[in-house]
Amino acid sequence: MYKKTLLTLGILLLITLLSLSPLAAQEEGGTMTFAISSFDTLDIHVSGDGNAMGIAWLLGATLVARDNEVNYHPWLATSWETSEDGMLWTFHLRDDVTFHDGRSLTAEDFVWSITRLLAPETASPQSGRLRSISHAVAVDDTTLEVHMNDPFPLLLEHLSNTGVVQPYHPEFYEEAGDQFGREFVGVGPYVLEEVATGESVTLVRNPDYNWGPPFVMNQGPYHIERLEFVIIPEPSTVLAGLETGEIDYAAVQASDVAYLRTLDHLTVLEGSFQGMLPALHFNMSKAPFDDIRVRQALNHALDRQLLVDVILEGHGRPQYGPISSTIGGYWEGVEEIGYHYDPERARELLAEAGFADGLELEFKCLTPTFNTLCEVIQQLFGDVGITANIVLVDASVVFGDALAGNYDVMTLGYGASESDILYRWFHTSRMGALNPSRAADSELDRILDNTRKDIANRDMWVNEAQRHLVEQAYVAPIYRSVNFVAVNNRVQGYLENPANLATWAAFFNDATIASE
Amino acid sequence: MLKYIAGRIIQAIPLLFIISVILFAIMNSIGDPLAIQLSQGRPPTGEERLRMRRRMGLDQPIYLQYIYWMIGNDWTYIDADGDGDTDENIRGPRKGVLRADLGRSLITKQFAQVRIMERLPNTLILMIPMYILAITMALVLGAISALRQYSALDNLLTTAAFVFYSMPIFFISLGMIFIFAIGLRNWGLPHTPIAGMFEPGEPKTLTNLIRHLILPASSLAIIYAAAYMRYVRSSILEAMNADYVRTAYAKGLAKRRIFAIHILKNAALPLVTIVGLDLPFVLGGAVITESIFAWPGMGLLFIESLTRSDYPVLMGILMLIAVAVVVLQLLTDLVYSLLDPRVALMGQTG
Repeated sequence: MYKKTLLTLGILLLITLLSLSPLAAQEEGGTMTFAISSFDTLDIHVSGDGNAMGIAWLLGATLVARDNEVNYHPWLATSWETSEDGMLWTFHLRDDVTFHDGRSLTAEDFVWSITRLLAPETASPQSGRLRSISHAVAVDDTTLEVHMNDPFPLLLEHLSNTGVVQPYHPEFYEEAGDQFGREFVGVGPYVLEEVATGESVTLVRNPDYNWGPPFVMNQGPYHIERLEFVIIPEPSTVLAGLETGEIDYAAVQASDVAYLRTLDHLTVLEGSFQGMLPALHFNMSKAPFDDIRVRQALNHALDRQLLVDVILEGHGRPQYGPISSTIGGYWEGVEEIGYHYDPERARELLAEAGFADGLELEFKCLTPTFNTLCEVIQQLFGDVGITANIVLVDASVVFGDALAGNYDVMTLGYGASESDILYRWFHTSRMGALNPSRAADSELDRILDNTRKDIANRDMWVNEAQRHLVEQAYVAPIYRSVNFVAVNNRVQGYLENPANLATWAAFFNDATIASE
Repeated sequence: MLKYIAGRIIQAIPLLFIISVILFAIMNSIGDPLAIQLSQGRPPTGEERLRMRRRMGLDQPIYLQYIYWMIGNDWTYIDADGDGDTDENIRGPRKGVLRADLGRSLITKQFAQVRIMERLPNTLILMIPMYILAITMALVLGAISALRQYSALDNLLTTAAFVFYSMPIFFISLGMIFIFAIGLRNWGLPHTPIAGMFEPGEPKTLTNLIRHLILPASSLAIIYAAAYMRYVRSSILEAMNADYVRTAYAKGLAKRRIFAIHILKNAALPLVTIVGLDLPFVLGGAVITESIFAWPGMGLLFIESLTRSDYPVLMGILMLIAVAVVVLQLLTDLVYSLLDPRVALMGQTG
């Protein structure tokens, strides 16, 4: 009898152990499947695709790594210093980093990569953000000098964030010729196995990787053996794949979040939009939008909470300043001095500006992204006596129109990770490159110039720029949206990355995946 | 016969030329490829934009762009640095469509013909079995329906055809995924994968392919079969009541023989016309179906290129379809003459 009890206990213990073992045994190995909507080329110097950038980021590494709190950590560079005048940055590289083919990384590779990225022949869409860099010099194998055209305090952000400034392998590039971009050799935690055009991209773990950034636990090789990126353009299909477990990771739409949260095998991660908010932009070179009262009236007409509730199904926050509250340099003061919903005041301002009988305007709207948003705004405008005629324009047209000043009022949003976007967007010198408002405002230019020149007081000038932009009602900010990613619970141990640096919503250095 | 074919081909040349001019004009007005890169958050500055435009040849007037597209620009020098003078040692990089160079994709920098040839086989792998399935279903069901006219079965089949023909393809496709990929899986039965062409990471075997082919091919086949079945049914009915069929019965021919030779062959004519008109678009792939099932074919390539204004690739796809229309129209006429001896193909081209 006693023996039998012991046996039963033994069996129970065994069963318990066995049922726990998948987690314990799955330290290494496994395949994680990502659904991506598009992919072009791993030659990220010329790519315009966020997913391609994200995949290349897993194949490579950058000089410095940025964490969630916007601190910069050593990655391929062990340390760095900048000259007094900000015109020279010196990076000291690790000496133990190797490319996937076994060759050691040297400073020359960085020089080659930066030179190609900036070369006019490359015609890189990425070069704009790095235009402060004049050239790079390899002092020796592990010392890299970056010479600047003008002091640019946010250089580290651009050297880390998207992974575009990762070292290419020059000899491999020559060898691959036209195939470069479908073949790739980097210094990252994953090695490219295959690009199946239009279908998938497959990566396998780099067992030699031993130079992870310090803010993750595991600086060595990643645990997950294979990453499959499957190209699925249709969101409903992605949803089905998440449901069946065929897809472990995918960006999902806000409207599907409530349903996905009911599924036990999925976790929904939230990331927040960073950059120039989705906002109404006014063509200030055109009457009546050169009149501040009209711009203020349009601002007061927006019931932002209603827009968050209706368009984002509550997932988001009303915003009152030009940049999102999620990026460094955001000034909270805009919430106080910003224009809150006040249809009475809007009507008064319009009457003062001479539009007591109503105002008719053309409202260009990015389709399909903002279709419903524009319709609701059209209603809100109607409430204060503004007739907005919506013209739907798609992404291939909207920026051309914006830059050419071919609009009255339009919806625009724009991703950016730091406050220098204010300069790049609004400075008079940027007319035709960005600056859709087309305002030539010497006071604003003075403030923006100072954000780049007076580095010691940069925070103050950035706040000042936001104050000026709100006071002058340059834009009518709407809201900050939230983006969602669903991850299968068989993936464990990742570090969430709400800013979606390098595309993904998490760092996977410490992640493991249980077999099905 | 040969003279007829030659005549038709000569006739096709100005037609294709006109099509290409119109398409080129439309393609150049759908948007600025550089603006797309802008909208993705990576702004080139004004000066960089100009430089990129020059490299892409977008700074030239549209008629010159068309000429370069057609006959290439390797016979001329280009102005690479934008100083207004052409550079003596830099010749244009393009050979032109007439020398089998459709230009490079603005996105991947591959030749457009390479991008298209990567995708065309995938579309054919989907469309050919789908078409065979659709036509077989249409012939069998249409014939049953006609032979049992006004029976319960006929009513059921014609109603079903009407319902499926009216149904949007995305509804059928998503319904199929819901039943055969999710439903069967949840009940622990053998099920199909939701999307893709092969299981990534697994060997590209035929079984692997067929498993992935089932849902997209049958979703499309249902709609095509529903459309064709109605033609088959009505043309069989028409043939059944024709005088020559009555004569055949009177001669005492076997029923099977009458059906196969006198009825079916005559009833096939309208179907050949419809199929001949539909087939060219098969090459263009099925945009919606390929998107839903993530099938890496021409339809997906078209959408990818369209959203990025990659007009060398778009032009390539559209011209391929245009050529296919012309060729298949010719083939349709030839099949006609085989099926119906009364249709004589004369040397005339009118």
